[in-house]
Amino acid sequence: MPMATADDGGFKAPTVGEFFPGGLLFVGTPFEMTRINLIGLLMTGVVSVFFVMAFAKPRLVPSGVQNLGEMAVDLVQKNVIDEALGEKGKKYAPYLISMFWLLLAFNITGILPTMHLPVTSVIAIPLMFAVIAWLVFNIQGIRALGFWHYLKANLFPPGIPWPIYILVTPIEFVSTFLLRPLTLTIRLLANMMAGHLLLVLFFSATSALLLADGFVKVFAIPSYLMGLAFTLFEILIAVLQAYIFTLLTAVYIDSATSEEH
Amino acid sequence: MVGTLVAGPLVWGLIGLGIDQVVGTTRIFLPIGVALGFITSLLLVYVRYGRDA
Repeated sequence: MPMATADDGGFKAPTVGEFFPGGLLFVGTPFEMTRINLIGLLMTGVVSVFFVMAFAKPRLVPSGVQNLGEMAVDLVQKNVIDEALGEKGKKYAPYLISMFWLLLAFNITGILPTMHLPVTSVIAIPLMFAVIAWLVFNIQGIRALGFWHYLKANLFPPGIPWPIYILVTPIEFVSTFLLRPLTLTIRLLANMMAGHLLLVLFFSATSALLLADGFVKVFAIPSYLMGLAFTLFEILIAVLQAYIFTLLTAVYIDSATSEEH
Repeated sequence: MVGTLVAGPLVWGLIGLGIDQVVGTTRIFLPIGVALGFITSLLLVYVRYGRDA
């Protein structure tokens, strides 16, 4: 784990510099890769290999990795897709299931030994997921309702006296078409950044307190215990954020493709 | 829902700020816009999510 400890062994608070590690491969080229990029590639590989192994030769009675694969699919299918999209969710299952497991893999790297940095704690990754979600729900909405009907359904909610549309329509435009991808991005990014900073803070404080002289060493114990507690908490956050991101995407798709909003 | 509650004061606050700039007033239309946007966003949340509940 990167330690925000000063050169003289004293305590140095962690900064956003934590999320911008130096280049490791292809340094000085446009393809420069940092630790975060490499962890992202590795986790993408892990998720891909897992699903390919699980479903390369599917059997009617599953066993081994196929069992795990089916559990992974069922988890998202039952808790997200069936809940938010119902019958029409089948079409979006490959996208939403991949999204959930990739996000979880990217989030959980924040607490995995030797990695200790969530891939989703740099804005590019959550933003990419959010932009794809934005494209999917808008394109599917337009395909389901037609361009003008889709715009009308989103910008002119029924049951409001028409003069109020002057006030309502600009708000609906900004909240549906501009703020949705932004809120998806910021929610995930801020949670993962904050979690990582807390972990660095507690563990670097533990290290600095242990190296300090005198009675203050004792406080390394509560600091370490807090770090441990937050590590467990981060597991919950990693799962929860992947779930929220996927569920909201499913809800947006459902609302975009429904006649009623 | 959060997006709507943020967008209301943001959009109408910015429009209020723009009117302030054009008319030459100092922070009169900005708070009016923020308040109007907030009330409208509450109405929108009710219409979209609360009316059928």
